[in-house]
This record gives sequence, structure tokens and C-alpha cells, in this order.
Amino acid sequence: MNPGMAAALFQIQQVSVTMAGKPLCNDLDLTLRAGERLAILGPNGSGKTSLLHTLMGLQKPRTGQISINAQNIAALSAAALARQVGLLFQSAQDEMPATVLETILLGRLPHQHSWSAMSELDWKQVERAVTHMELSEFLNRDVCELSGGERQRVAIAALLAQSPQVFLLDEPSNHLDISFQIKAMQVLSKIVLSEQRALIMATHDINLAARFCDRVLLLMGNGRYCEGQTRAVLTESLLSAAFCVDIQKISHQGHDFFFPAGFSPHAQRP
Amino acid sequence: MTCAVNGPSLKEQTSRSVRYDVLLFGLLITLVIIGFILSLTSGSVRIPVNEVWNLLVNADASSASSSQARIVQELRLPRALAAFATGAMLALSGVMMQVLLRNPLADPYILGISGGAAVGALGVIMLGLASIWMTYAAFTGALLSVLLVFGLAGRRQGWSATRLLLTGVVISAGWGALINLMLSTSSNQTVHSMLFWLMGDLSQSRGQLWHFVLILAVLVLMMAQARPLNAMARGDLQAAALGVNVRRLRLSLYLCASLLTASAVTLAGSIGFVGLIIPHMLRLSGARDHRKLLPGAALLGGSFLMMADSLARTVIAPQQLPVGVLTAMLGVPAFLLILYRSRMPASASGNRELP
Repeated sequence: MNPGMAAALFQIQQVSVTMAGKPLCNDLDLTLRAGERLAILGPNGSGKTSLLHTLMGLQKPRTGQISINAQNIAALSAAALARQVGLLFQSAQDEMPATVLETILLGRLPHQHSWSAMSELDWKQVERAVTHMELSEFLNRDVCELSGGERQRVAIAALLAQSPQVFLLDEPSNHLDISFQIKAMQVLSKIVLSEQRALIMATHDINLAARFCDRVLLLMGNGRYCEGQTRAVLTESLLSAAFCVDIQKISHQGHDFFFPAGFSPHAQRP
Repeated sequence: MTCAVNGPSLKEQTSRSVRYDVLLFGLLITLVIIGFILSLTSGSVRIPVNEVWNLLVNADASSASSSQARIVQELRLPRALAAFATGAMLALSGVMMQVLLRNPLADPYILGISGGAAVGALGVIMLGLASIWMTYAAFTGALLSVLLVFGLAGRRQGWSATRLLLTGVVISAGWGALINLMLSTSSNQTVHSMLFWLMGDLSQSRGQLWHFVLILAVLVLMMAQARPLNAMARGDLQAAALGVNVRRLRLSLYLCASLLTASAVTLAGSIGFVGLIIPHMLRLSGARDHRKLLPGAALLGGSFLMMADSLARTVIAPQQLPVGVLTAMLGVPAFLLILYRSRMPASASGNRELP
């Protein structure tokens, strides 16, 4: 079967999101099929995080509806939704102490009953997550003691353990060194492609989006948006318009790379 | 991949931690037994352990042997039960308040419940009413405070930890002002009994069946929510994204913790320290998972208060100290000992200290 013909997994219909009266995106229509990866790009305050939170059911859209596997998420219980959709937050807050293992185990919460012990599947998913994020040496460390990048790996591992059908990632490359940025995206991509899941990530890293995502949603910052295949949306003119900076593209070994141009520090000196 | 985890290693670690938990709970239960023995044997009349056992087991012995049986059965046993119940309720409530407010410094009294109860109790003392009224007045005051904070903080969408905390702290300060007003306008005679009440005192307390029913009910209810509580300790949004009904859980946390605190305060006055320190002692001992923390807190809180109360009766016998004085005297060194022996970082907020 042509991957383009795969079943619609996640559907966003006529969704509008506002923050403090300001429109962030108007009438968004978007259908994500199994195996697809979508990047959300846009300037600060353009609504990337609000949109992800809306998709996770943490806030209600002003209009429109969101469905997963043809079920409206507003009609699902929070736990039922969390079994199918998982969100990586932009930053984790750790006011109370907990070990790395305890934090990753929490990812299994939506799959567990109150009194049940960890099942074989629970352990399998946790072990897979620990292996992927290379955390086996860290399991008994307190999360408060970790570096920012290590903390981010724990958060990604918890999401992997949750094992949702749709991964929502808010700046997954935050704090990660370049090798773990690639590693995390490779792991997630592999799971999305081989297990027919889907991924939506908000990011500031245009090149990460260009490399790992099939489609891009570019929020313009005024409620308007562009959505389409990565190559169609990631153009110099659209990006420059969205970010109000002259962004140029170079191609190297078949990949496109984007950088802000006209921006020489020497030129600005008197 | 270079470093792979194979199945057994994770489970092996868990089974090791299960052995540790068994040890921990064995220790806690031993402490409860020691607490009971101390409570029943110590006091102005010394009664040896084996005799206490006889007096308790053989009901008919009571008629035969005199005052000793009456002391154990009518004075010390109800008081020991009251001490255990109060300690358990305060420690449980402390655990719950700390999650609810996501603040390691929270204690059962932080939202003003004890203040409300104190105003009620002190009012009764001030008016010179019969002491039976104190129970009702204290409980009414506590409930009034609960409803006041709930009504104010729960308005509109509200209900954030910060909003709740601020409302509680301000209400608490209001009660504090009223308490000071009552203290400063009362006669010397009444001020003494007021201070006793404020410091927390078990001499008039009798543990009753419903106290234990309440503790068990809250424990069962919260144990069913133990995993969601673990998630909520990481943040409300995080918990919501993991499928926890945060609104409902916060509400039940608030109501259960308030009910426990109100009952404890009504039973024994505002005994400090237990609700703040016991949860941290357990966390520092490795019981951070609420499935262990909740029952552990009930056991440790109960046994701790029984021991403190036994000391309160014997240190300057035949006079008695308010037990609240001793909870801090025992608790501070015990807590510091655990804090400095523990490998867990003291700063829960993750702030690193300078070298």
C-alpha cells in the first residue's frame, strides 16, 4: 500500500486556538496519517506550545474538533486519550525528588490500573526506553541532580515508555547535545515509521525539521499558517516572512540547510 | 547499541528495592509496637511489660487487680490510641498537602485549618464553657477554615497550587491575629490552658473507633490514587497529560487532608512538626513512591507521636509536658541525622550548591 494512502490517524478540523484574546491559528485543518511526521515551526509566541497542549486535550480549542482514530478527543477520558497521545513538555519542573527510574515508570501510568503491578509489557516498554536514551547508568540518580540534557533524555524516555500512537514533542532537542538530538529523532522516527504511529514536533531548529519531518506546519504569528510537504513549505521566502529575518538555503549532499543571512557581525561595526 | 539493558537487570534492581521495602516496613511496624509498649508502661505509675499484657488480655483481671488495670485500660490505652491516630492523621495529611501544594515545606496546618480550630477551642476556654464544647468548637472552626479557603481559592478557574497556598497562608495569618487577640485579653489562668492547647496536648484525648475508620478510609482512597499522586508531584500539567483527572484528584486531596487535620487538631490541639517532618524522613529513607509513602507515613507518624507522648508524661513526672514540645525536641535531631546520612539531595528544587 502506498504510504500516502494509510488510514487517517489524527485529524484536526477547523481548529482555532487563541491565547489571551490573540488568535494563534485560525481554522486549522490537518490530517496526519500513520507513519507521518509533522514539524510545527514559527516565531516565539506564534502558538506552537498552545497548539500542542490543545492537541493533548490540556486546553480546549476555541472552535473545531480533534479526533484520534476517528474518535473526538473531547469525548475520551483523560486516561484513554493518554494511552493514544503523549506529550513531551518543553521543560520539566522537579520540585519533589524522584529517581530517574521512578520518573520513567510514570510514563506507564495511563496503561495501569490502581492496584495492578507492573506487567510484562510495562517492563518491556520501560526497558526499551531506557536503552534508547542510554540511561541505564542513571536509573537510581535523582532527577534534580541531572544536567539539562540528561533531564531531557529522561523526559523522552518517559514518553517512549508511554508508547502513544501520536507523539507530541515540544522542542525535543532542548538541552540535548547534537548527537542526542539526532539519536532521539532517529529513535522516534524509526518507531513512527515501523509501528505506524505519528509524530508532531514543535521546534526552532529548521534543519532538524527539514531532516526528520515529512510535512511542516508553519505558523506565521498572526493566526495564518502554511502547511504542506516539507520541501514545499521550507522555502526561503516563506521562512523569511514568518521569522522576519532573511533566511537562505544551501544544499549539500541532497539535504537543504537553512541559515539567517545578511547578518555579518563585522558589517555592523562602524 | 553500546550499552543495552537486558531484561533481568531492571527487574533485579526492583527486587532489590522490594527487599529494602520489606525491611523498611518491618522497621516501621516494630516502631509502632515499641511505641505502644512505651505508651502503656510509662507514666507516673510504672507497670512492667508482662503485666500490661495480662491486664489487656484477661478482661476479668480488671475486676481483680485494682487500680493498675484501670490505669492501663481506661487511661493509657485510649491515650496511646489517640496518640497513634493523631500522629498518623497528621503525617498522612502532611504527605497529601505536600503533593497538593507541590511544596516540600507544606504541612497540615499551612492552609489555616489549625488556626480555625484554635480560635474555636480558645473561644470556649475564654468563655469558660464546659470542655466538651471544645471538641465541637474546634471541629467547627477547622471546617469553617476549610470552607473559607476552598471557597476563596476555588472561585473561578483558580485552584492552582500557588493560589491555594496564598489563600491558605493569608487565612492562617488572620486566624493567628485572632488567636493573639484572645491570648492578650485573657486572664493568666486561662492563658495557661490556652497555651497548652496551642502547643498540642494529649492528656484529655481518647482515641475512638471512628478515628481509625477515617484513617483507613483515607488510606484506601489515596492508595488507589497513589500512582496519579506520583505523577502530580511532577506537576499538574504533566499529570494531566498522563491521563490523571487533576481537578478531581486535587479536590479529593484537599478534602481528605483537611478532614484528617481537622480531626487531629480536634483530638489533640495543634501538635507541630509531625506533619512536616515525617513525610520527609520517609522520602529521605527512599520511600518517595506514594504507594509506600502513604502507609509508611501513617505508621511512622503514629509511632513517633506515641513515643513523644510517653516521654512527655515521664520527663518531669508527675507533671506532664504538652506533647507538642517534645515532638520538636525529638524530631529535630532525628530528622537532621537522617538528612545528613542520606545520599539524596536536600534541595528538592534541584538548586545546586556552590562547592
